[in-house]
Amino acid sequence: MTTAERAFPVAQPQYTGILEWITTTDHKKIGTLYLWTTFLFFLAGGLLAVGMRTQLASAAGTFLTAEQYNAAFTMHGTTMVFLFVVPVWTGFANYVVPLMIGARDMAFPRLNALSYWLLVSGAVVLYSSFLVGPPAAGWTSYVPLATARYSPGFGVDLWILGLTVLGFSSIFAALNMIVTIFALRCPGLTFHRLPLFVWSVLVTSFLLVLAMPFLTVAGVLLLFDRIAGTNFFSVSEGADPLLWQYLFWFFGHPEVYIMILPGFGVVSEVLPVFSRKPIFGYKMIAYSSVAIGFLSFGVFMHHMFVAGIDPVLQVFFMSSTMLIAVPTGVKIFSWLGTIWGGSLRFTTSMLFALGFIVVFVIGGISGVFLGAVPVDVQLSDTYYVIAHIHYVLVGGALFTFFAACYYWIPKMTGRMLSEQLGRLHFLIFFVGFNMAFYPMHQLGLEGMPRRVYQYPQSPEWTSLNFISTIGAYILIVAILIFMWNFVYNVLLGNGRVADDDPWEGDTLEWATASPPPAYNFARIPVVHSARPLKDDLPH
Amino acid sequence: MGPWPNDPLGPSARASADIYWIMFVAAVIVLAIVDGGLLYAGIRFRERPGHVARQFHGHNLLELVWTVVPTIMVISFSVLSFQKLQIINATSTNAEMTIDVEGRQWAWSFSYPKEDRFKLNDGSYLVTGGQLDIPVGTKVRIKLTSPDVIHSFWVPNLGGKKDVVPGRPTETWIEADKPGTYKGQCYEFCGTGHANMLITVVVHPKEEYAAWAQTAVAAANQAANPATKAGRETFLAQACAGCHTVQGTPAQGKVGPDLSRIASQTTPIAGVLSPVNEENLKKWISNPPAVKPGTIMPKLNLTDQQINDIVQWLLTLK
Ligand code: HEC
Ligand SMILES: [Cu+2]
Repeated sequence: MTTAERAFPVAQPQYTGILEWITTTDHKKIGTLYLWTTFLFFLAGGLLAVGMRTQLASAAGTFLTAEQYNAAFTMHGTTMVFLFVVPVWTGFANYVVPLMIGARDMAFPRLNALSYWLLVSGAVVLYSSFLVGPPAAGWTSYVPLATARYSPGFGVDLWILGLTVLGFSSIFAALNMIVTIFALRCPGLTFHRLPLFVWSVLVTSFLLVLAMPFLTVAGVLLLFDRIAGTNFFSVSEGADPLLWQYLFWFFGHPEVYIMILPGFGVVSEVLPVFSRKPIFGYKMIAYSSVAIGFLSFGVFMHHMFVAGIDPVLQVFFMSSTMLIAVPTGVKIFSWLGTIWGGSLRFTTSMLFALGFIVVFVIGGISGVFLGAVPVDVQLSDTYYVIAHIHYVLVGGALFTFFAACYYWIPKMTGRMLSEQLGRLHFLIFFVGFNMAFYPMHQLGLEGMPRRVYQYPQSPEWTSLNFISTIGAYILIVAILIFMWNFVYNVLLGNGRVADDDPWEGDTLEWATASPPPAYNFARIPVVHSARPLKDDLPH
Repeated sequence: MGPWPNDPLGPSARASADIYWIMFVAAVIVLAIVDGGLLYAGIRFRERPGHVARQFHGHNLLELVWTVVPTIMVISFSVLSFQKLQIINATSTNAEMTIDVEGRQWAWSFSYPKEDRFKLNDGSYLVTGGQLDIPVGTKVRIKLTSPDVIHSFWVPNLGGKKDVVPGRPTETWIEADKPGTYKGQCYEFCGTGHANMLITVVVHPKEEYAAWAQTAVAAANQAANPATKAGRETFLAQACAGCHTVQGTPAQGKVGPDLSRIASQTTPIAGVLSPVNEENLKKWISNPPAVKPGTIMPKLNLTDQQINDIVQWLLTLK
């Protein structure tokens, strides 16, 4: 691999210690901050979920009151979506994308720091609601329920304010990412040589920039209604309560892909490396991300099939929803093609990537069921939907998050995680996950509604709910193992020292030291293929 | 009664179940291919001495196949679904009966058609709460309205879930193949009482429906007796209805005892005050904790007049 001389653009940091972290504009430090912060909120959101599962373990549970339960699922959804999954990918992208494209930092380092601190501010605003009474209108905050009349107090106000701040955080981060990927690629790194993780981050960033404003606008209108007495969503003044749903889901559906496309990208990095062969159908995978990006704006009304929308819309959105399964299927088959004929190394990262495929296919298939209107009228707002979103999101975002952790943490910290503990983590996580969420499909078919804190009238739902709760507890064990693995091997420094390229990967992040020095590359790499470390070596 | 795909007990649910099973078969095949492929690859291509990875970047024909075949599959699902959707969406075609349903925080009420068989003495028509009674094999059009937030009406084995949207009337329909009791409830999160917004649909044999209507109207007449109308209205307007059930009225609370036959009750009021008469009822309602410390029923701020009205009405519930 050849390299090129290029002057360092930015001055060295002026502070040390905690002040250095607060003032840093280094993409790796900001990425690290993102990852720590979002993981913390993952734990918070998880705790809320455990509370809910404990409540539902029996038909007339009394662990939580109805109000507490409603607040718990509202904050669980909001936390997982806005404070974990979306920003955790920003964190990984922050750390890895500049490395992968052979850059020394993001295009706008200070904007990058601003994005992170906005994330913290939004989180503080959102969580401060616990002091005054948390929001309890669901993470979707449908009106009129979320209007001042039916949700008095400050909970929903803080929810909106928090999300607005988080929205700006995401938009700034995404703009930064777009410019970075367009402008800072090292010489020779054309779009057809771009690592697939970078491709998916690029598509995700465009989706964020285009979709987020819809949520912000809807939120601000609702906030005006709530505190200034305007009537944007007031039914008695002739407003259509579905307006909120149109706006929310126009953001909300692309949001789903914002959460899982980066995970797809991780899998597209991990599978080839541990299969010892190139990715299958590089272009198809990249283009299918773009196709998914476009289509994701054209399916949003499938969240409203039973809301009383025009039958013509039902048919249009049914077809578009089903169509989006095609590019997703292309990816899945391409991943199968990637491992086919390879020489597979079952590292923890690889196991999570393969586990992702198993889980995600189930989520994709249940999505097609939900996309068919005649089936959806029988499934919407039941536990089947809860099963579906968790197979999609835990599969698409959490399995892939762990795959990314085991894959990149050695690069980030210079220490290897334990593979033994990692495999145990995977095994327990996989079992716990399926135990917690598979039964929900059946519960949904049996008619159990989502968002109910008790079901005394249907004690026949108890056994499946109980199994699900046990599954949730098993997931706690898996997470604890992961945390111990990290603490023992990385924080306490007991792990093996990671060399520059421990997995024999062939993208540019493996060309620099582990952890990478400030500004990543002393000399800027020049690449001649999509696998610079492999193909460029003879040069 | 099994889950609706196994036991679709009405034409609408059946239309959904038909599609469900077609897709189910396709789903099993796709799952088998992907998971089978993974398993095979995992064993066959695992790293081991002497095994080297084959280096290739793609396969045009395969890629074409797995783009085109799924496309054809989803298009056929869409077409089939489109046909079934016509059945599900045909809420008014050939409907033999129309029920106006109001979903509100946190109860349902069902207004029966303005026909003689449902007419009460005061000229109004039968309204029930929580429970809907319909004849078997009859297409019933369900018109949905809400005075507050969004709710959703669904009885799983009968089909056709539909949101109840304030300011925007919606409708669905149900028809039951067999007499029996069908469970349903509210499916759109609507606040604190969402979990308690239950629906019971009782399906009567056709020949018994007229008799049911007669009893229901008689009960409602009794409840709506003009002499005790004020009491009934106070009862419904006060918190009482949230905790107590009185058959034939929208009061369907489940916290306290059913008061539908309170006047002919032989056991003591709340197990402590005997007999059930005007004096004791007044005593109880004006201050329950004073009569029975620790009772769940609270002291409500009612005037003597209101208490009197309520008790006069309760005494007619035999
Ligand atoms: C918070 C719920 C609640 C409210 C509101 C409420 N009740 Fe009760 N009521 C109860 C409970 C619980 C009991 C059973 C008391 C016990 O056994 O300790 C009861 C008992 C009664 C009884 C005796 C029933 C029997 O079979 O022994 C009558 C009569 C009664 N309530 C009338 C009323 C009236 C009239 C109102 C409205 C003014 C009212 N209740 C409001 C919960 C309530
Ligand atoms: Cu409701």
